[in-house]
Amino acid sequence: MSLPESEAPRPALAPKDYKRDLKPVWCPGCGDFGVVNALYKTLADMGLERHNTALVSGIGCSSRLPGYVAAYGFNTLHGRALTLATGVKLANPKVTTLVAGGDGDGFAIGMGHFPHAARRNLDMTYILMDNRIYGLTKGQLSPTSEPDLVTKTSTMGNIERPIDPVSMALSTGVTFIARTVSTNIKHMTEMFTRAIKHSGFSFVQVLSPCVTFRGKTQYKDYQGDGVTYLDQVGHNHQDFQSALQVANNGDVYQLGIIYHVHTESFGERYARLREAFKQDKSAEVLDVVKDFLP
Amino acid sequence: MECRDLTLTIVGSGGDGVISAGEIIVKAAAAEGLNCFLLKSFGPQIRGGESSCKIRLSVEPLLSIGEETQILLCYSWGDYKRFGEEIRLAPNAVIVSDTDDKVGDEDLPIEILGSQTWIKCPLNQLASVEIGNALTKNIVSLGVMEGFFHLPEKGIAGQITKRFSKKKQDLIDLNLGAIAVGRKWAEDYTRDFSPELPRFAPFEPGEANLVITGNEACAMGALWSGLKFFTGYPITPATDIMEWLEKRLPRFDGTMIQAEDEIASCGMAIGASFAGVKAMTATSGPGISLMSEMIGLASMAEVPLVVVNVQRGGPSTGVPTKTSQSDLLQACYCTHGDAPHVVLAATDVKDCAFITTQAFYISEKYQVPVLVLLDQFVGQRVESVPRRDLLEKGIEEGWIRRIDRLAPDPADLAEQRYKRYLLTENGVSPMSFPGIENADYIASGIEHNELGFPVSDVDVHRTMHAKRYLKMDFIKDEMKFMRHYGDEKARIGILVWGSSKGPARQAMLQLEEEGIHTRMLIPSCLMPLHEDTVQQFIDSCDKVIISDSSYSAQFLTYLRTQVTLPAEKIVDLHFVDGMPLPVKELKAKIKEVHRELA
Repeated sequence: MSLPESEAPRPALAPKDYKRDLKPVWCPGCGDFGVVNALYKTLADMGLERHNTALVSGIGCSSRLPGYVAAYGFNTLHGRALTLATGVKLANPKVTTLVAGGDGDGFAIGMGHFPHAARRNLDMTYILMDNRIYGLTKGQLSPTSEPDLVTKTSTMGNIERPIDPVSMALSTGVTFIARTVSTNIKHMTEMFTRAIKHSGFSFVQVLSPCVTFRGKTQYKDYQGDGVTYLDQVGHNHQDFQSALQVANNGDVYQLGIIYHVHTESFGERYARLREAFKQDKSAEVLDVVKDFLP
Repeated sequence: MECRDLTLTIVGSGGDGVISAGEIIVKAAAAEGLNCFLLKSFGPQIRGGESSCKIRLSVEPLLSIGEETQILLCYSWGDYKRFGEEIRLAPNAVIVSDTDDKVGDEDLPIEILGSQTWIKCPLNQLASVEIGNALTKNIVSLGVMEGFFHLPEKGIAGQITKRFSKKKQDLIDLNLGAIAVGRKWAEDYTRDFSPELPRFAPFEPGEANLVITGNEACAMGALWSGLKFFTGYPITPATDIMEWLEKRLPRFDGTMIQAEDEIASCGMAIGASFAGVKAMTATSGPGISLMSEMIGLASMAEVPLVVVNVQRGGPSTGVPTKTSQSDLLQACYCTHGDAPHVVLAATDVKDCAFITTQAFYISEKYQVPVLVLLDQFVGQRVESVPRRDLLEKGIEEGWIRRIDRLAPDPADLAEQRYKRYLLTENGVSPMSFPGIENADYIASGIEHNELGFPVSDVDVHRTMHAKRYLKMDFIKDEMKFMRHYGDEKARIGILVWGSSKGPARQAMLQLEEEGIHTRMLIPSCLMPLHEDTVQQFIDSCDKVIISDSSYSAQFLTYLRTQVTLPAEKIVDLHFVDGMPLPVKELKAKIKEVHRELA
């Protein structure tokens, strides 16, 4: 596979240059607008090339995101974004691979893939746009919905315990974990940038309010005393125990880099082993036929 | 009695080394240019359960594994019993069993006929006493086989040496000793009792043949087609493909990853293909059930994809170790919605390589998912194939083709007017991939316009459906290859598909000798089916036998949706899955039809 390489230096792109000419389907006031804006800014700040960037998503309100970004995109099946992104990254390692999706997509139907993407430590960034409700299907319970929450499928109140995506990420061995909020573009941009720069699997939980099915409560919760910033409280993000405490910290959302360590990614390790394996072996297919000689 | 075609069955438990013994015989024969088949059959146990292998050796090219077995090497009657009807002994079969067998003569699972020869051989004692190692029992028995039936002697010793070449010389000597002990026992017995035995006639050794399974041939075809990404999830009887490619893909800068389930493996393959490389996954029926939503996605997003299904008995877990043709309807109709895709089927081991190259050709050229149907019978059986026949000849003669997908026009890229889903005369649009400038687009499972933008407008939905289905019309002509066999003037027609070819062909040739003429049509491309060819075939026969290995006659059901089948012409002959098409039954049916027509 050979790619046409242009030699002339490319002009720097502004955030608006990453915007695709397609009007989002999101409701006015949706937290996801903040996420996509922070993403435009991140791509511009990092100077990521449109043609060397791929966004993969599943199904849900937030999974519409790749359509609004001028880069390669794949809007796939409900819950399966990580699997397609795995194929993209391994087949074409030069491509910066981003995955975006919601709490239902990633932690209900798609949960089975998350631990495996994590333990493989694939070099990709997974942005979870967590609104703790099903928006696209108009207001049902999500796996991150709070206890007792009344929704269209829990009119007596939610009797299931919610999943905490950050604890899940920690326990499955994600090497970069951050939490941020869609009302703070600057913080989101910083977290996305750090996540993309991380070589390995990075996970960013964005608290992204749903105004239509959660009213104004989420916006209120994510303001003022409802959130604290980890860089202001001296959190050691290389320490697993400290990270666990942050993840489980009750009512206050602690934002920032929660955990960050470096280990070799699947792609790096595979490429290294493959080079060693290839030594002195013919790469002529018809030579392989000899393997079948008795 | 000298023969040039011999059928041998070995039965025992896993620990007896049944399969190794069979493989040694087949490799020894193939090394001297003989034609061979080896079919393995297992019980459900992971290790140590009953296992059997059936071998056929011949000077002439082979079409099937043969029906009745002429020689039975039975390590244990207890294990034999579990195979029940699967093993059919010839009326004049020679049976060699172990003197030490726990099953008493009065409790044998079969009645040994007066016309059959039963030789009790102290296999276990020769191994444990004379050689001093009970584990060499299977090797001792190879010596016995050699002594009795004149199997390729030098070849067997050669294979033993090769098999243990990485071990110590002691081990090689031990096993060569075991061969000699077995052979001497057989020679002494023959001298003392002069039994009437079939003996393989002396032959002129030729160039060595390849010894290869259908699964391996399929993997080989994929490799030649330019496969760069393989992913799978372990499942019997398809796992061999993954294991074989795991060891070879890295040599070709390819990647193999074991997925967490079949949904993931299919997703990864589609992702890799979207990213610009040729990708494949392989599974069996249950895996296809999980992949079906993904296959629909590949159809909708027009991403090239090859999915291999090595069929086994279903539904659900079914009979995972036995063969079946009962995933035909699943292959054709696995997705929801109208999702054009292609279904191809391989007829024999060599064809597994050929059909897989065709799958890549069609998939890449038309940007569609292609399902390749193999089954346990063809996927896991070992066949000898002349070396050049596997791929080389086809490549030289131009009927095995490699192709790369249609790339965007550089002028369109320069002018920034590239449309990923451009409407074209044959429905195929240029496909870019990450890395190509000015060609970024959004692929999706949601309905989209030419730019890939999501649209729910019914007119666009209709237009894009038409675009995707248009490709099928072109594929139909491209894939018209239908296999015709037999006498083209015959009044009796046979319609089968996939691995039924060998047994059906065998039946035809045997009946030919009796003066009963038949003709056969095998469609290699089942979807889209070239209906005209099938219809012409049916119209020009007086009777057509439609046969497959499925309980509900899936092939007949499928053909009803594709062509007109006049009730008075059609003879339905389907078999419960688990076994390849039985030659004997097919012959009986043909004879019956022949009498009716006479």
